[in-house]
Amino acid sequence: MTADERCIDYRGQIVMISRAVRAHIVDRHPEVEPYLAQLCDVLSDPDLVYSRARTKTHLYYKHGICSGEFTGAYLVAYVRYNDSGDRSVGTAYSTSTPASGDVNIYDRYDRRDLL
Amino acid sequence: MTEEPLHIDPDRFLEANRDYINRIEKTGVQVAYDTALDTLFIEFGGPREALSEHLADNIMLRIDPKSLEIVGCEILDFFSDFLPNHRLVANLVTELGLQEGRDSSHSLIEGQAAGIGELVMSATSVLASR
Repeated sequence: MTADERCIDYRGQIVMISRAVRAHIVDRHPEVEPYLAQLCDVLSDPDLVYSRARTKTHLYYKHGICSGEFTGAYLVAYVRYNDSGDRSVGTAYSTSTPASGDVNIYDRYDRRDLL
Repeated sequence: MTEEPLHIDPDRFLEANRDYINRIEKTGVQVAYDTALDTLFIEFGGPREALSEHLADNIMLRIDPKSLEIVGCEILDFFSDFLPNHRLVANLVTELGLQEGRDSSHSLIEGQAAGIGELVMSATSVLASR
């Protein structure tokens, strides 16, 4: 995939993934490369979403995508937003636990938007 | 949820990193700033597959999922958020000539690497206790 990608998140908002960011994710987080095509799924159907207000970022977490030595890890899409409502993926990575200190704004198992 | 969450055992993690300082003396420490991601990467032996485990303030440790060895550290939103709120690292940024909007890559000299090593080592206790 070579062009910028347009995804729709769980709230129906557009989130862009630029070609440049995708290339840099592959360079720096090679463990994410097999799952790049599934980043839109992380955004549209996350298990958890957290907000980090100071940096205007939302972190989308999804289980069940990573495999091999990363089985059980969350795939995370780190989404930056601005006051105009533009949203774009800033990076993506795998992690064992949601970041402490962030505010949980969505939990699919609560079946509700916490905003 | 259909699979067990991945868990990092704190005792195994600490054991895996007891020789951390010796290890980074062998591999060296590389620092790279990536403009597209606005992220500072501190890597021991170059980029490799790893878990990214959050510590605080957009700082993440990169950990090999099998050995649990620390393979690096990265700081998200480096120029847009981290640096204005952590002026103590400004000296290192100046020494390395890091500039917003310009990709760069450096190998740290001994004194700088030792400082980074101690910083990361103290951070491991945060991760081990969470």
